[in-house]
Amino acid sequence: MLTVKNLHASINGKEILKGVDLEVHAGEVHAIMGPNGSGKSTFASVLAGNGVYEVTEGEMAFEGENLLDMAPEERAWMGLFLSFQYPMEIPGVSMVNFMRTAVNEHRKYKGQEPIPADEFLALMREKEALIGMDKEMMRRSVNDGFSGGEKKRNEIFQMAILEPRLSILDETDSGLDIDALRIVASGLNKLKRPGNATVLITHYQRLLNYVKPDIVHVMYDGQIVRSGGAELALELEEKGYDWLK
Amino acid sequence: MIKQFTDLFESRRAQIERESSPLLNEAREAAYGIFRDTGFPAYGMEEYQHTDIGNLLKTVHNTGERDTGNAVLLNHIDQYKTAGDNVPRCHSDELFKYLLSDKSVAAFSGKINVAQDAQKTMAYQNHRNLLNGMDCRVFSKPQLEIYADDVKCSHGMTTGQMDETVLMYMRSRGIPEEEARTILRTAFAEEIIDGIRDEELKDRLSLSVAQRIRGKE
Repeated sequence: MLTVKNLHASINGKEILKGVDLEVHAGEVHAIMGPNGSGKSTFASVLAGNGVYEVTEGEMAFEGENLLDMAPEERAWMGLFLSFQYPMEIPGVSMVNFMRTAVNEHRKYKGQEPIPADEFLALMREKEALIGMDKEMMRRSVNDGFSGGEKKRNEIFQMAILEPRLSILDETDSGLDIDALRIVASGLNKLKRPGNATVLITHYQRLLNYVKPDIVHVMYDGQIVRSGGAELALELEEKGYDWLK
Repeated sequence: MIKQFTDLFESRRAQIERESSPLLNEAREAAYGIFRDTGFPAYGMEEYQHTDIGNLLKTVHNTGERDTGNAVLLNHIDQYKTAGDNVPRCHSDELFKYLLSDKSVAAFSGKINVAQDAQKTMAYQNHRNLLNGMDCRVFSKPQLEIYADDVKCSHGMTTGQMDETVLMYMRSRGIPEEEARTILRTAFAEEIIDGIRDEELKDRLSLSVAQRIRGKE
């Protein structure tokens, strides 16, 4: 589903990714761990198409299509979703309008008509219940004045609405207390489908207690230096990252 | 209907009577020069009066030439407003928002005067600008003149381009870049329209502003 080969990327001339290789198949849950500054978030941003990073070498393909040629919105339409580490606040843009616009753009890409109002409301209600979103949050502007936990939950809610094929979750667990973590994790588990895949970027083992990864990778200094099964995450928790350097 | 390349000069004065709470909310689209002077002298003003001013200004797409020759046309919008508080315990909120595009130039000069006997005045003046182009410019001169010593006053000005990280966030949800920009411009304007108390007028204006932002930029 996702093939990344020898990916190099830099920002302002400084190289952050120094040859990343990754292969994700449908149905898999991957975890990418690693110390601060190792390039995990940069990798997520590059996958989503953030233009501040320049890809200098390598390949990225999603469903066989070259991602490098695609705008961020096109990647979204194809079914790629990034849950942001720091979701943006958009005062003056209501959650309802934001989501309706996003849903309709996805539909337009598929050659479908805009979603009828009643269908959209039903969809919102269904996903609110699934993720445990407060209805009151829907009436507010996007992430405006939301707490850290509410923002992260809102990311999972957006993911539930858009039903991506590949979800990349950039430190969705950071800044969450244990209750919020459980809610987010249970949302993720409910959204899991055989045809979909998830890449979890995280510092800690704790999210992985709730969402079981099939493959764990360790990123260090812009490269994936080790891959293994779920037990690798436990080993990292115990020994830290130093032994991998 | 005012034609392009026409300059408009306007002067407004409001004399505020006892127990009134003036509210001035307006939205203006300019393809011509506006030179405006709005003043609220405080004659007859009573304690606890509240003045709200919300002003939305949007310049239209215009990069044409003025007259003949190679001179570039600048949309020049100049506004001057004064508000005076010389009675105690009055409150004024002023919010000016400019939405500029292309080669527009806009200027703002505003002054709040708080007289010596206008104690407990609360006066806030804010001027915010959203520039949608590398060639637009804005000049701002927010001013406070305070002669009383027990007041709460502030003034400020911000000028910025659209936040690229917000745009990236919206695009990652499948909202195309141009649509995202339009949504953010409309949201910027909406804060002024929100201050309108007549619901019917508010809805109509909201729709009209949204259409203009969509249609002409």
